[in-house]
Amino acid sequence: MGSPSQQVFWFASQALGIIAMLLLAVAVSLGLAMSGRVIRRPGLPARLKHFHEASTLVTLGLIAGHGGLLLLDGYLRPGLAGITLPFALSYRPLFTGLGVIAGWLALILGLSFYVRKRIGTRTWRSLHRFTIVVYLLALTHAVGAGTHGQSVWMLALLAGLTAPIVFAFTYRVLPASVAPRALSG
Amino acid sequence: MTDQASTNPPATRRRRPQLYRTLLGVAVAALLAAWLPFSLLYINALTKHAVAVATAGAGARVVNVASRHATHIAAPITTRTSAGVTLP
Repeated sequence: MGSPSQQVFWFASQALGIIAMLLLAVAVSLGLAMSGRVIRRPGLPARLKHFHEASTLVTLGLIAGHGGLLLLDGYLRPGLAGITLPFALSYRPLFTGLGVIAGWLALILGLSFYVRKRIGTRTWRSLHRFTIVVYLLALTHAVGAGTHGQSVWMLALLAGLTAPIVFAFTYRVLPASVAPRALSG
Repeated sequence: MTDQASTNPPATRRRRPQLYRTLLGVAVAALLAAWLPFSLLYINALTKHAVAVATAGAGARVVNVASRHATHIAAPITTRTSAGVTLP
């Protein structure tokens, strides 16, 4: 081992994980911005809704690719249980376990949109609020489990992705009468 | 109400292709974007590997000169190091 050519799947998995994190941040930011009515331009929310839905679906695909490519890594050899069961992987079990939980939660919460008529819009909305938990779990996973998780560039990237989410989340949870003043002042 | 009933189906029909187009666009963009971290990680590993091999080679040459042996096989690299973190 040691030759980079033998670690292609490991690097590909990491790359997909990074892009999944990026797109998850975009999806969460957009969702919060739309629900908090941060974006008010007429006609824009409909287009953003498409982008929110599309980025969520692509994120789910990237998460599947992130885990799936690890199966092909001859060094880690996580096995199907390692990438699907929380805390089953011997490599940094806590942080990889949190990543697995984040993946499953993302799948459940993301796809719940398509059964919202069956489960009821109110239930779906309540479930959808937990998306922020997915982001926090993914963030913890990226910092703790990623081999570059504590690199300056990775921390800077994650901080850059998290900042708009913190802003949109704060704006969303602030009472309606406080939010505009908080923004203008 | 009648107007709404007559305009809703085309709007719904229009929604799907728009969504598919956006989906395809985001998917292609994401896969293209993934090349950047992949290339950086790969180049970083190549550089580290080259340095490790060179260091091992230099170490081996020192050992060879000291012991006056003609050949020395450098120990293989058995750990995967990335940004200072060694994997199992």
